[in-house]
Amino acid sequence: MVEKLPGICIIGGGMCGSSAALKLVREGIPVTLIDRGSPIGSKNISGGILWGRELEEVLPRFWEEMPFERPITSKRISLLTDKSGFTVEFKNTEWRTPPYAGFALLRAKVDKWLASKVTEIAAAQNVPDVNVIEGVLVEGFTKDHNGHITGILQGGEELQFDAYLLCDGANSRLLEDTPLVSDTQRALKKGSRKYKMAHQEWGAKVIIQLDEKTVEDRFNLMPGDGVANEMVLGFLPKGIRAGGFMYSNKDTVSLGVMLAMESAWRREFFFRDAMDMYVRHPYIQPFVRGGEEVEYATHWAPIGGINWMPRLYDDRLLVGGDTAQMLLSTGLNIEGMNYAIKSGLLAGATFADAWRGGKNFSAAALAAYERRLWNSFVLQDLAQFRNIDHITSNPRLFYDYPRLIESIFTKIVWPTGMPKKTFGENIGLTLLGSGLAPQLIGDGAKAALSELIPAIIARTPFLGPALTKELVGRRREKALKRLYHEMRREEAQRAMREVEEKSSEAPSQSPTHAPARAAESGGGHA
Amino acid sequence: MTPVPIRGQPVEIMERVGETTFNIDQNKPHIIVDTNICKRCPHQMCQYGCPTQCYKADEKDRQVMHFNYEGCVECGTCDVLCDQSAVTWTMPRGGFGVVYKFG
Repeated sequence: MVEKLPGICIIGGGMCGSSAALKLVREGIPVTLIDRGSPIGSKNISGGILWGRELEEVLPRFWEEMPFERPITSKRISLLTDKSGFTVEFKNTEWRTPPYAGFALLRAKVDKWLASKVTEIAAAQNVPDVNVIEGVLVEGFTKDHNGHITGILQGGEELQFDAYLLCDGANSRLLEDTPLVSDTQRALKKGSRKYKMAHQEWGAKVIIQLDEKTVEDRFNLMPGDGVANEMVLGFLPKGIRAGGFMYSNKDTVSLGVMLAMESAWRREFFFRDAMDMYVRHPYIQPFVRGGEEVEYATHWAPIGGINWMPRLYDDRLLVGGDTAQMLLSTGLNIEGMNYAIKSGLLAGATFADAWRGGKNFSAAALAAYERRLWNSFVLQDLAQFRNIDHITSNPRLFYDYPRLIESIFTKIVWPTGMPKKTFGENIGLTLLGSGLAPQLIGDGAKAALSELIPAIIARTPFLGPALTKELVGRRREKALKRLYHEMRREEAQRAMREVEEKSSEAPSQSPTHAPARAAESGGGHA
Repeated sequence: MTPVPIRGQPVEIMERVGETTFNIDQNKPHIIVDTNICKRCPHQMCQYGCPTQCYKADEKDRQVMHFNYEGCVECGTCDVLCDQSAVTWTMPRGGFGVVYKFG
């Protein structure tokens, strides 16, 4: 059975989906927002800081109503080793009052509120055919003979709308089913774990219940202050790249870990132990001791950025938010929700133009979405920081450098009962002793260049934007090709091995690669 | 509600998972694991990656994998880590699965 419905269908009720729905409703266009969670927001996780004020475009002075936890007034960056922590803090007391820089928030509350605004505004502005549907899973798409989307499948029925926005999150199961992904990408998604790991980072988070006064005292806050503290977790086994975050909510603390899955591809380490070690870390304990853990959540962070972005538009289809890898992670800034909101707003604007232009939702008409993204901070930022993974995936940053800082500061501060060395001597001797000086210089230069080169290219008069687009596109193609060939080679090797094994099979030793060491490691790493 | 673990006392992961609310779909598991393939798996990374211990190697025979979808938080990590095509990953039916109260 096919049911035809007017307007735009938005799949996914997160930041991107609800922003797009709000934009469309403001333009008076029918919209149906579908989310699999019941209530909306119950599947949604983020670290917890919304930076920026993009929502103002559809909800002026949204902070007066939004159920956020605290405005962010300080940003702390910490480097942890197993016994020490080195922190820099920047606090701007002006951010206590509007316009705010960012908000600590919990998505279950905020997303529910945001989706409720869609129906509220539709009712106030008399927009017909606006639906917000929760607890419904979109199971797949129906397509025309060219593979373009024509409808969605739900409960064995086909629903046809004028156009669709796909924003069902980092773990989108529907993206693979669209023409936005090429056959190469689809094959890689099936067969190459490297490809999959290039897209996602593993995240876990616990919410710790304290009370308002305790949170303020421990984080050194006035009422209405909030802290975003990101950390480098140098206490994990060497080679594992993980970052942590600790955000002050109203009466709870969000404590979480982001882990590069590729770096933890070893059989001695349970990913979840990173979370456990973090909560029990002596630097973290004073903030959370005596509290109660009230929720444990895990989620992916789409770290692929512009290098692994899918195509953004097709006939009757746009994609935004985490599903399109729109997250910026530079080490100093970790932002995703504002990129999702902006992409949702721009998708809404593009749909609105197409609706008014005689309901022309062809790929040619919707291509304006990508142009809009390029004219906004979304793609410009992601392009500017496209090489940042060379720095943030450097294992030294996560192991050696925190230890270097620990030993420099220990030398400076620790009273030895001997005459003091100069700062220069302390730093110089530590560097020499560690043997890391050349790497440090090299990494510093690399960091500077990775920022400088894209900036110079982007700022080239006249040619800059086009050149950036071209380079980004080429790099994506090249990376895809490389991974594809690698996967094919591995497949061939595996097939060869299987043939060899079959021809010389010894039935007594059937499990060929028994993970013997794994058995002992168990849960604890304390 | 689990007290925050203090230094030196690891928290039992199932205790932590117990803090989170689930609406388990008793009729239809959303992840299906072909554990016959697991017997030949060279790495069994699923049990190391799964944040909620849905994958557990048998205590007697490490090559036998036990899978239980009931504590699954739908992160998709097993699908990324499994390169042996043993995991068939779909979303739970609408309204079922994990229900985050905080998010």
